[in-house]
Amino acid sequence: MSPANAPDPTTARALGLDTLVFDDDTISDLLQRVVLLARHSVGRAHSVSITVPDGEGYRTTNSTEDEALAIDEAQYAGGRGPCLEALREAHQVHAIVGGEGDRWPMVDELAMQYGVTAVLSTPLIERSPGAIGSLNIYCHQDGAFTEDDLRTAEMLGAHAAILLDNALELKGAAKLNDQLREALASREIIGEAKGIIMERQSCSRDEAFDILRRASQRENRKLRDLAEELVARVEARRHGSSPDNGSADNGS
Amino acid sequence: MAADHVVLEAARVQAGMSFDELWMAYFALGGLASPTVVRSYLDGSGSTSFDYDVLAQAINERFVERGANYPVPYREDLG
Repeated sequence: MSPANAPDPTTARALGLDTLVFDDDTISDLLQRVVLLARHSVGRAHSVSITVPDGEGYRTTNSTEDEALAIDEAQYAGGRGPCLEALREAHQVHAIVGGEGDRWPMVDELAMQYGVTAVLSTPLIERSPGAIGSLNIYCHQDGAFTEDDLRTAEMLGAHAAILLDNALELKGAAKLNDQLREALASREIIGEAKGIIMERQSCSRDEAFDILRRASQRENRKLRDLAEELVARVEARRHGSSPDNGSADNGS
Repeated sequence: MAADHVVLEAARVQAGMSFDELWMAYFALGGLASPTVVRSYLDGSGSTSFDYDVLAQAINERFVERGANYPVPYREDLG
């Protein structure tokens, strides 16, 4: 599984790159394999990274070398660059450092410090029309990336898009899971509180809810918090008044 | 006087709450209806009378988070 064992470009293409999705590593590890495979498969690649939107800005999820991360971040800071254009416009961007000097001069300067001569950024598109990220390849050799490089990058981009999309969905599902769990806990405690009120006041469930929400309004506190407090009070009272109370040092 | 569901739907939008967020908060407060039923109540195609107060409470709590003071009327306030 180490980079040294990654297939050569011909083999990778012959395998259809599908071997990546059958691995049981986490999605993040799979994306790391994509960037490593890109570095091996794209002839002129020196370093590779993946950019995704992050709130108002962007972030690099994976990179094979510090160089890629640094140049990515220079683009995020300035809000401009080949990687961002590929992501925003959803088309592949092939930029030659110094060649299009005026387009991204700030990035060019940093790139030249690292010895980067060209950048190939491929949008990751799962559901048209927008891109959910970009696969960025940095090169050190003179001259541009070849047609072959462009096509290989597109193929890798297609796979990376599927992986990234799955990762995003998993994240969304995990969040929903947490929200549901919390909602269920809240329902339970509010149900208990309503039960206590119904018994004390000999009222209906709806009336019990009214009592709770009026208290919530009056005290400007969340209904769930009031319910929790009520249940805790009743529990403490019952616990304290029990003759078989084990923790007698609670003092009743 | 606007129908109940119109009041709630307008309040939901003003509170910046998505329908999913509202349903989750309604569910957390003990609401019994499914998202489909709540949605059809809010857009007027469902039943006329509903867990109005639970929905109002859910939206009010969101408003409170944003600094407002229980602006959504409850059933008894609607008269």
